[in-house]
Amino acid sequence: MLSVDGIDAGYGKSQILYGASLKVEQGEAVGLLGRNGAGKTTTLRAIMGLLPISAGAITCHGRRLDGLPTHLVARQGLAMVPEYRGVLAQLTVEENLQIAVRRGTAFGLTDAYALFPRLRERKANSGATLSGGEQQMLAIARCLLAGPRLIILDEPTQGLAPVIVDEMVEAIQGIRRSQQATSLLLVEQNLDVCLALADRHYILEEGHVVHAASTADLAAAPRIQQRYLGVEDGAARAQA
Amino acid sequence: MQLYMSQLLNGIGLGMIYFLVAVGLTLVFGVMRFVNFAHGAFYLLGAYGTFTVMQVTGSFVLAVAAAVAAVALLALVMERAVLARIYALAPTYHILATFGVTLILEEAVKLLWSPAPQRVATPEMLRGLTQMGPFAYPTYRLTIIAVAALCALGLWYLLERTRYGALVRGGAESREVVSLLGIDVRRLFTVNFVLGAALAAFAGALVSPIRGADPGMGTEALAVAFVVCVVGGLGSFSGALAGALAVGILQSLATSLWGAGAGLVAYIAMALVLLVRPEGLMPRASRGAA
Repeated sequence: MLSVDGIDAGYGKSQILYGASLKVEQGEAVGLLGRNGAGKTTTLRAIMGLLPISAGAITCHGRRLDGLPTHLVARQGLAMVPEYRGVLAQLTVEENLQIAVRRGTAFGLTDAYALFPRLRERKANSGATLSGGEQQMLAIARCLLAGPRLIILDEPTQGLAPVIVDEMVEAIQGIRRSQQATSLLLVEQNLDVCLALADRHYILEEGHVVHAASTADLAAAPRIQQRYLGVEDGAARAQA
Repeated sequence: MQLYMSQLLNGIGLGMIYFLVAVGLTLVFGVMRFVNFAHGAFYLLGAYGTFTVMQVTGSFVLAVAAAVAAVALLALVMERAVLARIYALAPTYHILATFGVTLILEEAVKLLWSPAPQRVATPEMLRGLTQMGPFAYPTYRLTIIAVAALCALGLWYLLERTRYGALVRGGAESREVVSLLGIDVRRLFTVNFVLGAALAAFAGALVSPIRGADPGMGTEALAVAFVVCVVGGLGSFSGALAGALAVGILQSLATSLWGAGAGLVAYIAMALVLLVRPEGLMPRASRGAA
């Protein structure tokens, strides 16, 4: 459904992406891996129209997305949770959710609260008072309210305590089970999380894709992990 | 005592008018970080629109409604035709362009009407005094206070209790996050801009039977609105209300104590606030840990 073909992009004069390409099919979960500065977040921002591209094309179901303003990209069914999560501190938890509610989508406020009961307990609190885990719950619930066809998560487990990471992984797996037609594009530093959530992976380096692999292949390729991701215990993980 | 009571009410009335002007400035600044120097012109045109429609139809209510609607339309055109082209530029250009619009509109007023002040009759129903115990106060001025207070209440509800209000507050905090949710922030800003302009026009219309209409009134109101925003904290709704009332009451009390310096009082208050609390009396709630 989503196709990124050879895009160049960057900030001002510093180019970050050099012909980056990837594809996400309907219902599929795709991981985007790479070291810091490889261009993962930049790729996501370019897809969402937050950053103009200077070459290449981005299409979704055959429709060009590049050049569209962000809100129209979102209305094509792409919902992104940014790295900084984007919980609005001036708004209550419930208001954060309400502004994302769209008519005609199957997933409503009650579903959001059912998914993360913690949010219901905190619904009258301001966004500024949430813990990191709660912020991520809110951000994910909020992006589901738009009824997206593709969910894009940028480092969903970054900065979270290990227990919360497990909880988050389970929640995302739950979403994948209950919304099987929805695709997922995931940027993660945590390889285990990426392997647990995605079916297929791309590895970015210096602004383009250097490796593509299924979860099974990547899990069994400690040298690839070491070379591109700097994973030291890759061999141990592969044997486990 | 009678005098001070009356000056206090005058101050509240004046403050409510200032509030209606300043809140639009604050709304627009909040979401777009855009300072609109043409905001006073909406107030000016609200008064002149009321003057003319009242002359033609004789109905004050109709005149106010028509003036507000016309200014809202003008603001819509101005936002789409002029401002949309300059948002991306530095604030200096915002000031130049909107100040240019002000000059054009002020000169147009002088050409279309006249450089001399115009008088607007107080609507017949609201003439005379209202007796409150031993104390009598002009009915029309009381009406202004009541109407503006209703307006403030409605605005508070709109901004604090509706989805639109949540979007405005959210958009002020992060345009990126709101646009990622599929919301057209540009349109949100247009709506805000037009709403702010309509409120300023409404203020000009309400005040016209008291002070008349003259070509300089827009600039005058804009200056006070800036003072109000600085005193209250720019970008804050409650700050605009508190700042407006404070400035209005101060000015009004000063008129009876030190007539010559009344105009100065607001600026002295602003300087003091800037010295003691540069963020304003009631700044927008802190961002917190986000």
